[in-house]
Amino acid sequence: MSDRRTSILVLDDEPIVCKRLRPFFSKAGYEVETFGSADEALARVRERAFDVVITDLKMQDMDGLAFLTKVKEIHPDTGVIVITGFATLETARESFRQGVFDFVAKPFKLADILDSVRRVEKEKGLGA
Amino acid sequence: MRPPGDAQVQDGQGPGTARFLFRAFRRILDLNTRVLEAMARMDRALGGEYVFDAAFLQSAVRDLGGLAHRVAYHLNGMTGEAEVALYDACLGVKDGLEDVLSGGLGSLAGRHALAFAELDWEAEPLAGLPAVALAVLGGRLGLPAADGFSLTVTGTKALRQDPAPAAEAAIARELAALSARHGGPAALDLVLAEAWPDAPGQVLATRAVDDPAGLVESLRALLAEHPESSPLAVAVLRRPAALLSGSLQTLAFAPALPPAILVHAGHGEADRDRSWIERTAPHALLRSRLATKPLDALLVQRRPQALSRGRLMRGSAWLSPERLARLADLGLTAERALGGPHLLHWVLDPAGEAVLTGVEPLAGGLDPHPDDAHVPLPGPADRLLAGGRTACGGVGAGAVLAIDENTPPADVPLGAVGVARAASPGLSRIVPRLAALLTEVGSPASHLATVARESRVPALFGLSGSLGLASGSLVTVDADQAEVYRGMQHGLLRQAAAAALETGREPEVQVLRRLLRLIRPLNLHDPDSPDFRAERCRTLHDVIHYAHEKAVQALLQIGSTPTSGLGAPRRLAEESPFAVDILDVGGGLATPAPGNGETGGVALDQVTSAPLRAFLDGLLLRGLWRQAPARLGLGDIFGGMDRSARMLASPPRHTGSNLAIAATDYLNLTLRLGYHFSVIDALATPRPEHNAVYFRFVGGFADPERRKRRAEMVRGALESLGFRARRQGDLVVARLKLLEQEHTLAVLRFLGALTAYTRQLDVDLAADEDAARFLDAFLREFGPLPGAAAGGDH
Repeated sequence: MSDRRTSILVLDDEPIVCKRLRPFFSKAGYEVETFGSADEALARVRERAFDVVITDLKMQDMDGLAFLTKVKEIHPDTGVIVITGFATLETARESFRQGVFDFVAKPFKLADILDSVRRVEKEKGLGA
Repeated sequence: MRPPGDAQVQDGQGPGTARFLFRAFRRILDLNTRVLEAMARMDRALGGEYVFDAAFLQSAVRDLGGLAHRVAYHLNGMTGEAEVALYDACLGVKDGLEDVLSGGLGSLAGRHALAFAELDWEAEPLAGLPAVALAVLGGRLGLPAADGFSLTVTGTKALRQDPAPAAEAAIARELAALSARHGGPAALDLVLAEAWPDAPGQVLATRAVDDPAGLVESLRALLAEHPESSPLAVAVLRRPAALLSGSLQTLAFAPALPPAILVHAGHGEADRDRSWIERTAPHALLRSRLATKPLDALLVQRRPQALSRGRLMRGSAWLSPERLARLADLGLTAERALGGPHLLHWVLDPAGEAVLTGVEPLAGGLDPHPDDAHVPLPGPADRLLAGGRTACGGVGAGAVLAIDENTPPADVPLGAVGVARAASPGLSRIVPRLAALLTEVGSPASHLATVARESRVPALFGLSGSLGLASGSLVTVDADQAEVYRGMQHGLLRQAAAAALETGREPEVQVLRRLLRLIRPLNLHDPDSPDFRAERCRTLHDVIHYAHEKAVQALLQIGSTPTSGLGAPRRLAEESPFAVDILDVGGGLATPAPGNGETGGVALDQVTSAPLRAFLDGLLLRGLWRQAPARLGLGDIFGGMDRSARMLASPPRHTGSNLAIAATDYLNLTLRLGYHFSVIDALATPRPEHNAVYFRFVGGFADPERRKRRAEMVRGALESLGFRARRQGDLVVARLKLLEQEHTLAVLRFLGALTAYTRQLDVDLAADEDAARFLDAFLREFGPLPGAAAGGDH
């Protein structure tokens, strides 16, 4: 266990999701960055590693699956949590094949996504 | 709907048969529950419990529209297509919802001017916050508010042209109607506001119009000063006579004070008093900054101004602490209805009563004071009750007041904590006045729960011990954590006030709020009202509530409909005051009926329908059977002859057998005992919000007076059980809703015993005293009443 804060990147083209998750995770003691564009998020991922990436799967003009595949290529240790309102068995199966840690269907409770992040931390020995 | 095939009628499955009606009824119940649960989910999303996106809103609207359509379909199946208008109502609401999703202005978009009576929340993007808020607060909530009309976004756009005949005509029409409503013309006030979505409700300018004849010119001048950079609407208000005016900020933070209400009061900027008042009842004055007043100024209390004798040598305030407390109550009631803290404007009318004259969103600068983090939260020792289910989250505090649906709303002090036995829809009009609501029975998916959420009144349903809270004692209800604490818990209240500031302004939240205004308000409360019609359903909540009531009415007719296609009933093989035939529509009897057409007897222990079994348990209490022969007088014979002649002339449905249509948790019982006719319809499930007992009773053999006495006795007995009962002549109609399953069954047992006891009793009721005597004797024999402590119910 280390003392450093767990870092989280959130990617969602719906501003309301980023707007809600950013203060929530900050208040809970995490280091959070949010993005509405996959290109910008990917550029940031190339700059630094995040412990957890939370991404929507189906976004306007963006392919969440391609994004998370890239993230796992660059940082295989990053725990990826997928959030989407278009949850189907096939997309879920494909996400898990790409190494996704968890899958949270929209709409979700803040407690649910926190629970998911904590399980990533436990799995990877992160957090205080 | 296609007509039933012969085969379907013969096997009792087709449209019009009891089984068909019952199945359709159950589907309506299930669909209603799904609609209410979906509504609750949207509500909770609005309250911040869920993170959602635009896709959620689209799918929620699609799902709800589909469910409501199916409700209409099944109701029309039950009623032989008698409720086709409900399809139109569903479509109207669905169109409105889709319009909101696509960013439209709603069905009134083409109107230049709209009277307040026509406005509801869904018109906010068209009419602007100030007009809509005053219309809703003054209309639906019955709060004192200025009357007027809105020059809509469409109207302001048109009026920028000169001439604009259509807009000018609409303004003239609404102005004339406004004058007519109040007995003549009066000075007006104009409030120009930005309309949603760019800056919801931001007030840009106000203007006084002393001569209403110059209204159009004043409106044009006002608009000319504000170029059309965004949609604008004008609230045109009839100016109330005023002794004093001011503003009220429902949430304000000041150093070293808890979250407060800030009131400005005076005649102008120069002489305005400022007062900070506690947000919780009794709204103590926390701090005041009084303006200097001339010694000869007349205060609102009509006392001349005088220097105080205190050492501070302060002058008197314009408003007494009592008046400030009343203003605070008014402001918090408005805040709950508006969904968060707002800035209100008010005047005191010549009678000294406050009238709301404006509503604005709060500007920024409302960060909670750092002191707030250090106020202690309540501990286990402060807890009075815990449990129940959250019908509406939030924290509220006030004095406990027991309420039921017979409580007149005006008797409920604003800001009370209401406690009730059941979450009955009949409490809907009281809810907006409350600081919090507790009920012993009820579900977060019930109609009243949506009313609580709509009014943002924290509510816990199904909380045992609620009625045991001492009347008048101060309590704090934390509906989020499902706990009730003694006294005013300021730490909790501060937390809640800070959370209110985070009320979402995101576009998705605004859209969700607008959608819910077309979904959750319940406008049709009273099934006995002439307005209780499909055409009057304005929201999805109206649609499902209407369908539920009409479905129950259709079920009540089951026993009166022709018996073809009902299948083969089986007779109860027990010694009984009268024969009872039982038709099993699903789990009502332990063994399946013998072959088609057979009517084998059935023993009591084969009855697996819980409500029928309970009724029969009461009916077969031999100790309550009256054995003495009835004493008939000449009047009874003649009265009976008249009724028997009429009954013989009536359709055969009135002369059939005693028929119980029974399922596992359902009973529809039609009794034709001699010359009286009664119907009991009951549902007893594990879900209290579905449970109800309906009772209709009419007729008898004796003369009209005696029949009336028996009806009165039955009504009295039912009311003692908490039924809402009314009598007309010898007809008694009663209903009891929202009961725990065990309570429902106990009531049915009582009704069984009462039915046996009152059989032919009318001929023994020679005088009014006889009714009371027989009722006493019955109650004595029967023992304690089920739910005797229960209040009146819907």
